[in-house]
Amino acid sequence: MTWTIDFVEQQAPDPASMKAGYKQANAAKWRGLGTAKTEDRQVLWGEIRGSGSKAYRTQIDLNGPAFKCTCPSRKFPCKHGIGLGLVYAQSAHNFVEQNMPDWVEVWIKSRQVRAQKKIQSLESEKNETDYPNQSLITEEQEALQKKALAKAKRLESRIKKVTQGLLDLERRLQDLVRNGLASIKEPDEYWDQVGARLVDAQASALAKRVRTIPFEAQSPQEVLREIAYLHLVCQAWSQRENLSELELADLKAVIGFSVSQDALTQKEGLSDHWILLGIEKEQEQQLSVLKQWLYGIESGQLYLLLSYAFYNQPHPHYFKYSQILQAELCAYEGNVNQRACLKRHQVLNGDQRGTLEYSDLARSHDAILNPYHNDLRGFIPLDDLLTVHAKTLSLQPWASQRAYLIKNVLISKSEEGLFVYSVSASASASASASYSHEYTYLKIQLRPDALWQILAITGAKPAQYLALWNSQYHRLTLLSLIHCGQVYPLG
Amino acid sequence: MQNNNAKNLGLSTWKEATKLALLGLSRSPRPHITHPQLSEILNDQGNHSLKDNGKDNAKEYAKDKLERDEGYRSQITPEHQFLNFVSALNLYQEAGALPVSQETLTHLIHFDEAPPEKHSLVHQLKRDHLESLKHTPQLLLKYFTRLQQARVLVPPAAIPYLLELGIKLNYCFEPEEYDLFKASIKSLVAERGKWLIKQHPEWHKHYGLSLNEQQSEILDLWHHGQESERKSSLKLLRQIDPNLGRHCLMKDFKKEWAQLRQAFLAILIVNLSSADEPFLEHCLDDRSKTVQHIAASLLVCLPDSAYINRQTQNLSKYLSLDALSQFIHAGNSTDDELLSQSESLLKITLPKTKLDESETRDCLAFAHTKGGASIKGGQRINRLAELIRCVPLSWWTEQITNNLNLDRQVLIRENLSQYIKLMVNEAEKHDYGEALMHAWLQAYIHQSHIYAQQMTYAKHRLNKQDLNQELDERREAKLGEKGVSVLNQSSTLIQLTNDWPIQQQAWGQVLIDAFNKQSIEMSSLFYQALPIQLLKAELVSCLETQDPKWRSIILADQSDWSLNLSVLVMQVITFELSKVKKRKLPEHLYQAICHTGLHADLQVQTLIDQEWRAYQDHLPSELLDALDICQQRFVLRTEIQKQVQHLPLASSTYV
Repeated sequence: MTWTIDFVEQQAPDPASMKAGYKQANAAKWRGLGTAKTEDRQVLWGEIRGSGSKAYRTQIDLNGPAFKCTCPSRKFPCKHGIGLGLVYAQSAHNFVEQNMPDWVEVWIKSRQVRAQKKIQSLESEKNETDYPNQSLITEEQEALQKKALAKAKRLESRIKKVTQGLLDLERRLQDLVRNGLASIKEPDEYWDQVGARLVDAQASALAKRVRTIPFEAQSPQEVLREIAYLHLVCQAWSQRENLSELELADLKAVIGFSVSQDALTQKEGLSDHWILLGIEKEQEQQLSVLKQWLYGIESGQLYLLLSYAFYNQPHPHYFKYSQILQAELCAYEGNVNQRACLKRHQVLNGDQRGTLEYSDLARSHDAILNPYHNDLRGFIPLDDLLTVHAKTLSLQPWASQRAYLIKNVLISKSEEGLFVYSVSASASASASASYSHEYTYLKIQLRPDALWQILAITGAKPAQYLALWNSQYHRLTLLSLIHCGQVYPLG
Repeated sequence: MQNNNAKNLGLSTWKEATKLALLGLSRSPRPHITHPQLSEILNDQGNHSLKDNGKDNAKEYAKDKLERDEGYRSQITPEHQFLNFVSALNLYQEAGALPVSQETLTHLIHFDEAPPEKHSLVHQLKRDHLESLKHTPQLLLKYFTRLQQARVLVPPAAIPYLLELGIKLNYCFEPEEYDLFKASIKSLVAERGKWLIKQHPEWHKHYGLSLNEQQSEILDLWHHGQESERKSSLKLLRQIDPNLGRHCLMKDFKKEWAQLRQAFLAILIVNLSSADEPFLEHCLDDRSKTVQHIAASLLVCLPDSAYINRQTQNLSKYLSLDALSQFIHAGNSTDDELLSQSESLLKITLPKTKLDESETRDCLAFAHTKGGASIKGGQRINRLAELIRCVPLSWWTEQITNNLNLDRQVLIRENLSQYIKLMVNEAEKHDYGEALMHAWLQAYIHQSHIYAQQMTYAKHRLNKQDLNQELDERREAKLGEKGVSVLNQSSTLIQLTNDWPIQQQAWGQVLIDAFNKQSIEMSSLFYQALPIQLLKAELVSCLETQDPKWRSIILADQSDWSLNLSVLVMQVITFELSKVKKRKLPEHLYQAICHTGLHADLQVQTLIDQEWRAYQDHLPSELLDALDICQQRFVLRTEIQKQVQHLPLASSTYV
């Protein structure tokens, strides 16, 4: 692994930590900078003065990488860890090769012991999978069988719980329409309670959806749409025996069954050069949810990488708009699931400092995206968006919100708000014809200043967007603008 | 059209369904439902409810949860049917969503395509840089002007940010600098930017029109705007045409309520001139006390106003320099003889506490002007000090020349400093000496500020062609002779006597010496009023001789430092640092360190790192922070310098 500035930046849990890390990235601030190599790893250490009475001891195990620091920060790695990493990336000559001090040695030993244990357990698992037909039933295999049995048992009990939870939900829905929506006195409390019951029933995704109803649905009509959605889920679950495997996978995703990424990555994925087209970040209490939309340059495939992290922990992968990944992505099961997970990946232009500066927005994209400018693989005209979405709904009725790549789109303004429209080839060809004004207009959601950003970048020329279409609320949210080989986030 | 009908039908059904869901299926009387399937469900519900009622037993109804679950599963209840119906309808509507029809949109604007750029060298702006440079607008102006000269563009994505930045920094510049700043931004955003400015109402107002073109709009804002808008429009009016601004204000003045009258009147300081005097005199009789005070404080800024004359006459009632003049006339002007005199030659009688009518009308509240802190020693002394503060310092020397029948010019050429020193010496001997000294200092500071202010506005009114040259010379001209000639070109402005700056400077020199015996803060207040060149010369000489005065000067100095000065300061700071044992870093050191960091150049920076870092272990974290600030600012400066240096200058190299 090459230890670059870019790599260190990736380790930062958030931009603020990265900034703070840069403040510490001055060799003059550090004392006793040292490094040592053991047979399997290299370690760095140093001491830095902070607000405490004693200097903080910071250390990094480059294999991993793993960070440790004696400061009280709850961030991980803390700014000192990042700072030390940056110093090493910028000027490794500041680190004198020497014997490890005691405090470093203790940590490294404990890491070695842990690593050893992990290797042992991995080996034993591997042996089991490699030689399943061995007649000799060892104790370990027995334990494994027990494990599998327990797993099946857990799944069974979960299905039971979900079934019960959805029956409960269905009853509530029926009660609600019998007594009237107007009977809900405190909508926030009511839906929160329903959500809590669904959490108990281990239907987490559904619970999340239910809890957002008071915020999302602004009118009784919209509340009724949400109820219709939930009813459909309950109905589908009660008839799950009749669903195909893919349909069941879709339904499970809607309810919130987790899928093991290890199992997914066993299969062959889609290898391509990928670039980041959009990022959404949400905070759910202590959990931060990161959605990264990756676009396969050759395949034209759009995938969603979804990751969760407790707020002070880093996300496993945090890509930048300038990076090009050579990666294999494995899609989640389902008819229309856009989610995927990374099987393997490598950042091709890793040395490039890819912070989101005007200057740094990768020019390298230009070279890669531009050859596809004429066909823009995977992008659809705005005119087709509604048709394609209808087809998606016919496969998976809960796919109300879905990301699309749309091309040749223009923006217009009216008293009703902002709209995108497309000048389709046929329309512009018959510009003089009587129905030349028959453009497709869709209302968009956009920050007020983002309109000016878009106009500045495109100069009112047709452009490409990554957009979320929500058919239930009839709104199109523009996530990013793709113009002349560059990606501009709009969120 | 067919599509639309179908859509409307769907929507009306959905409305009916919502109505039903809101009220509840079991509610009676039932709403009128037209959709056949819905009304069928409703009829079913009626029967079903009857069945439920027939059971008439709540306990039984809730008897067994599981049984009920089974019931929900097997039995198709009307609620279930209703939910099935809405689920299907919802799905149809989602799948059948139609785009918005153009006919339904009012005032639809399609943006026209932007024109192509004329040249194509794009300079990559760093947002971080701009964010930090916001705090040093002068540096930002330099940077942008340099970019403008190189005729580069910024990337389109940076245009909105830059245009907004230009609006935000409005108040950091003086008017003529701001025009330059706006012009440089307009050149950086180029054709695309100009096209954007046309579309955006706010930007159009700001960048699209010159100040004069805006006049009618500003007048409109003055008449119909909100309070804050009216204030800013009055300020702009005063900038465009001071007389027009005053006329506007006079017209509506009586109608405004007191607090607004105060605020508006205070704005007259912009381009204040003797033309404003009658109106200000009139305001001395205003109903509101605060308005009177503000009018007085503005009148004090007009050195030849009737108001100042009245104050001068008042002062001469209480203060006599006759004895001093006679003493000089007798030729006893050497220091030794002066020292031998034990009694002060200044004759002072304190004003009465009770003011007569005209005095009350002129009642000056100096708290409204700069340097107006009150002086120890009671009401009568303060009253005297007030008079001294608003009377021009040249009055004092005039008294002597008048008494001795001397030629003014001769005095100014030959004996000015000597006489002032004499007066200061005599004052120090007097019982009221301390009060007198403070009053002189405040007069000095106050008058320096008036002068500087007048200079700024005078220049703004000058021909804009000379603007560039003017800007470079602005600092020097601030209190130099040139300033006066510049000032005199503008006939509407006050006419100051030509020896004004010389008098002011002489007073400054004498007061520096007197005040350096005082505390750091007190004397730094004094230094703030000094012309920059004088301040710098003073600083260098103090540093070289290790005179502790440098502390107060550093506190006062906010301007750029040369390399030599930075090195000097650095050395002294290093020396002082070695003496600092306490946890607390003295303010002047902190200031000096930050200041050195801001203006330091590479050579100084290396020194800083070598010398100061050695103290980081036994010095408070405050110092470390200060060092960090140094470092950051330095890195920023060098990076910008580098960028600017690498810009090509000749515009012919571009397409």
